Amino acid sequence: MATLARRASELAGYCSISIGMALSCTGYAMLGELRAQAPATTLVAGIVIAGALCILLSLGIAELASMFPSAPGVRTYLKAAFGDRGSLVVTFMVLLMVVLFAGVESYYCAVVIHRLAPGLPPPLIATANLAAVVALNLGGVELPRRAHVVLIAALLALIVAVSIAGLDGAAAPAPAPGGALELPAIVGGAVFVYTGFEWVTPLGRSPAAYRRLVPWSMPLALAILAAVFALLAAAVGRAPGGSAMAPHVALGQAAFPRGGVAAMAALSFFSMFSAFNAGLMGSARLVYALARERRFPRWGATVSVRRGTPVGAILAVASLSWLSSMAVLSLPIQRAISLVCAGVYCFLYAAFVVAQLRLRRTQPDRPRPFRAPVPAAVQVLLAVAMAGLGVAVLLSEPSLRGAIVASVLAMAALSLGAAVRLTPPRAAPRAPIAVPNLTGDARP
Amino acid sequence: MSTPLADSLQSFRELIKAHPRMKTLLKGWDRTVLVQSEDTAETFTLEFRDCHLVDIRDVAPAGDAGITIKASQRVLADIFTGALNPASEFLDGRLQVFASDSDQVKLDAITLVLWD
Repeated sequence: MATLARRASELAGYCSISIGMALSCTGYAMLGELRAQAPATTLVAGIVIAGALCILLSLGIAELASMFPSAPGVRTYLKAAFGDRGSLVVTFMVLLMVVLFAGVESYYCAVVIHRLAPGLPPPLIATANLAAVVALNLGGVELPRRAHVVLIAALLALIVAVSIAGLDGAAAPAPAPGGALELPAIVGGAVFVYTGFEWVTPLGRSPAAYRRLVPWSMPLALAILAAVFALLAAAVGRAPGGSAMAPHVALGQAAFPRGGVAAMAALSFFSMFSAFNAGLMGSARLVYALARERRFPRWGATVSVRRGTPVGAILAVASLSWLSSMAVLSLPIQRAISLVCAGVYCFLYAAFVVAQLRLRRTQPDRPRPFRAPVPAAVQVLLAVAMAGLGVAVLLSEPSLRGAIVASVLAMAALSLGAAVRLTPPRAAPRAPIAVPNLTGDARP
Repeated sequence: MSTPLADSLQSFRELIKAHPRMKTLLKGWDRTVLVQSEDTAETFTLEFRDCHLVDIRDVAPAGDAGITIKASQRVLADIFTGALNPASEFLDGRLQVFASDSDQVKLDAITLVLWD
């Protein structure tokens, strides 16, 4: 009985990590943006389809995690499947995306808190939020897992409560304000609200956790998220005149005129804090490991001898995140960046599926304590679907199409350039040494 | 019992004892580390207390070790003698480290200070 309780508690911990990474202000804003361009029923369908696709994806990622327990997925899985340089390009793309995401997340959170406290300028709010997360990370402070479970459960309960109240309060679905996104673009955008669920893979407590608990925690977390987001999307669809940027705040205000905005501001803050904290720490750890592997400049491996924290990597990721947040606060680019992140994440997930299929062929004997119960043909279709959704998302906004494609190409070029610079050239095949034979002629 | 892994752990302990920066690095870091060899089934428990690696036992800890390190005997022995970079082994999936983020960095920082 005690063992069962301990395993349930451990599973809840892993689920809360997956859910905590996916809950973000940018995700709520994405829901609002999608709602602004599609009927509520299409949005709910898109959320559910995207959730189902992510559940299928998560099973493949779980298999990779069981092959390489505790390893940082994006670098290790893709390195095993596609080699050093290919993996490094994708890893740098992901790091760039984290920095861009941090900017957008800061922006949306600052907008919501600014609504509650108009006296505080958004750049100050964004800077204070980032500084708080950086200070905790530099100090080596980690939220205990149990406290994290409670925090995530409270956030989910808050979303469910406000959604149910929102559904109760409105008689009929509000019409879509205009625009008509196709279902693939809706699904691709909706995949974005689940992103980050796979960040749990390096965090298993023991080798045994990779047999069942870590693998099944991801589909379980995604199923919970799908139910909660579908409910929120349905409620947002019924809310009259909801804000595209902060649909949950508009919903909270309509459902609970007294305190609704404050509750949603708290939801935004803790969602941002949870995603940001884990994202910053995870990225900093990745940068640190890359620097130790000599695949990143050496200053990335600077550690605080007293606290044992990767100071160089944390400050690098935080500085770039701050610059990104200031850029997003100064320029109207938040929508474009959200779409870039959504599209690139779809490609990343496609790469994970391909990696898993390739490793089944190239490393068939490597132990797999967890094997994805999904037929290979379905996984091939899944990889194609994810890549297709990525394209659909990137091209979904005609007015931003050029900027989005240029941004993705610039990210790819930067990542490729850095990867080429930081990986040693392949050794040229050795020319045979001329060895004189007994007759005095040299021959290879 | 003398094995390559046992010998490397003993030399690791001596290096920690002799290094002047270890006192700062290990201050307040009292941890039990389980080291498991995948291919030879060797198990060692390392006790970090009072800024030192105070004990190495060739048995698993009685309770739950906060940190578990797992790899082949050769990889482990090479890591604990500084012949291999643990970060590269970790990113290549040949070394598994089950610990909190800060403990993982602390462990790597020990090797960084000793050998880099």
